[in-house]
Amino acid sequence: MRDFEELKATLSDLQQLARGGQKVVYSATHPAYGSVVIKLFFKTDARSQREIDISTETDFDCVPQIYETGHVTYVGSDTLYVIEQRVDGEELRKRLLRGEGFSLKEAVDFLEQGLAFIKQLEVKNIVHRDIKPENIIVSADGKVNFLDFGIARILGVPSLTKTEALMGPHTPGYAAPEQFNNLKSDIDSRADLFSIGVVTYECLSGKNPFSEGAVSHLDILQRTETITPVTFQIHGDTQQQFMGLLSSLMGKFPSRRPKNATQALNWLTAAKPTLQYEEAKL
Amino acid sequence: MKFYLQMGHGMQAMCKDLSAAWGEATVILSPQNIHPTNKLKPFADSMRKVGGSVLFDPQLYAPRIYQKNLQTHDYWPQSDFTSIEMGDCSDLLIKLANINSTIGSEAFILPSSIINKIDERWGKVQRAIADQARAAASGQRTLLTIALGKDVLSEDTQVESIIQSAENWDVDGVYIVCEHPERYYLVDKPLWVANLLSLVAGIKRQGKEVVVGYANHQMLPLALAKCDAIAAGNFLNVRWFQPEHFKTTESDDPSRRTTWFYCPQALSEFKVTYLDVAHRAGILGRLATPTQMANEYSSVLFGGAMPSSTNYKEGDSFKHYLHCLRIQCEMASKPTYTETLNSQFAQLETAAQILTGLHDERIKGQDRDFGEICDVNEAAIQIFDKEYGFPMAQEW
Repeated sequence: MRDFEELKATLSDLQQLARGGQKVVYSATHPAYGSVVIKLFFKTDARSQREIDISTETDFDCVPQIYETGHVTYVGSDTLYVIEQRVDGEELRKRLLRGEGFSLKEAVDFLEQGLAFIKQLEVKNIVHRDIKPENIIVSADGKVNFLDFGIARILGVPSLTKTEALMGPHTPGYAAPEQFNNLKSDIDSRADLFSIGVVTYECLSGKNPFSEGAVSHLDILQRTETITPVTFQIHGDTQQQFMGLLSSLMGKFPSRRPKNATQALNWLTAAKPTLQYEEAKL
Repeated sequence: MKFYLQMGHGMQAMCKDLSAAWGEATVILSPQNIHPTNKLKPFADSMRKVGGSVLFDPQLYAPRIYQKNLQTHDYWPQSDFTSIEMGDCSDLLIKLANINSTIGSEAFILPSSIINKIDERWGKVQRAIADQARAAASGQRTLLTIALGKDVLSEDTQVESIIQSAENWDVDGVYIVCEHPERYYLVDKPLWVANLLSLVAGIKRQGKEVVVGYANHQMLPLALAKCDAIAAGNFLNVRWFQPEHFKTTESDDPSRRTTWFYCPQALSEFKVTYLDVAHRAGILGRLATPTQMANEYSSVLFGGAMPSSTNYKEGDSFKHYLHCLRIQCEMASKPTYTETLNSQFAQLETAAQILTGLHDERIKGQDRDFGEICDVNEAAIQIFDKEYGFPMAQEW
């Protein structure tokens, strides 16, 4: 088995991007693949394997392509590595931290791409379950890319979360109530519709409707279950159709949301003629 | 939104009369009131002769409870209630399917017991009933009963559980009956009403038919949820679901009966003695039935004589109520969601204004007065619009 140092020797511009409990992530330039991201998984557990399987077995046009997987010795241990395409662009969270929100047009384009992605996921029976600004890269031309299938669920195959678990895997502030409450039978693509609705709302308003002002993780979850995000007037949303769609996406229960991404896209298409982009700003 | 007749005590002739007058009427048959089983077909046939049609409610809401009339039916279980309550009821469903076939019902209402707390087990039992019924129904449309105890609609999480569970039921629709909280005929809890609207909308959005039984005029906003039909009858025990109604054979005590008059524009009922007060005050005209709902049953009240001196009887009172409610149901559904919403608010606003004027003259409907209920329904509609308005408008 190769040592990671051998792999490193073939790369240039190696930089650590992030390190978490499950994996460490580097950026680098690969002689064959060009600009890449390298992920080293400390444990090859079922969830890591599922993330890799989803990425390798699908060809979503808004998800980085996986070039290579294998094992290396890393810090003395057999470690799974993945080399994947590095997407040019900026993590959406960084943009939000600068206080740069979306115009109405940007929000519409973003939501449309997000819904198209969820529609692709539906075909494959996959629920991403972790759509949030940290997992979204927006390129200079506005193309939206989605990362990290680390907690994705494939409907119809055994769940990796224990049924008796108090909570399902989630990111507070973005996960739908049925997801963090581990109501497995209720989870489908409508959980992703909830998350994309929250992200779009946050990009327009500058605030996460559930995290803003919350004092703890549990507080965020309680707010997600109880409060209805405030609807506000977006300049250019002449008949409040776009805000209506966002509110519907963020419905507290799945039954209040669009039935699927196709329906949500249809509603967005229906709303577009009512939108005026010329002076679109908050 | 359609209107069905919910059969109650003494309604057989009334159903035929109303169907003849309207040219059609769908009656939900009550085996408690038509028994034994072999009397169902002659009545169904007689309804069809006057343009009507029938549904059959098996009333297996509490099969363990002794109910004299229901016990006489061939399908009524004599033992092994546990199996039936746990959804193992294929033999029962075959018997019910035969009854539905014999009487030529429009759809097969599948039985279910009253539930006070929604859980996964309940959903599985419902699903089991639906699955077994599919084979027994021989292609007939199936409506699965959802019988709710008084507390279920108090919590939106329970409502959502029902909706999510219903996604897995292989049925064409549902037949919802729900006990009112705190035993009020007119429900004074906005969230309860809003949750009923949500329940209907959630199931309608699945493409299933929804019929709400044991209803009354407070349920007119269900048109906003695209409810297919509500059903009401003569006495109050068929205008709101009362589980104890299926435990006793006692009919209403005649000594306590009062003749009421339904004023549709005020969404309220008044005792005839209060119509006399309006007559004396010179404002009886405010209570007169609007032209589009005017009918032979109540016109005598507005002929100039003191209302209590007229020949307006209890039977006229019932027919008048059902006639008006049928037209109000038809008028409740509009071409768009927004028009339906505006129409509901306008109806409540009108009722509130009329009632304010009547109350100033001390003319009140007592426990059938809609005064406070106008606010309840307005709040419920507002909540519903916020939570379901956008999808309902899109899918209208």
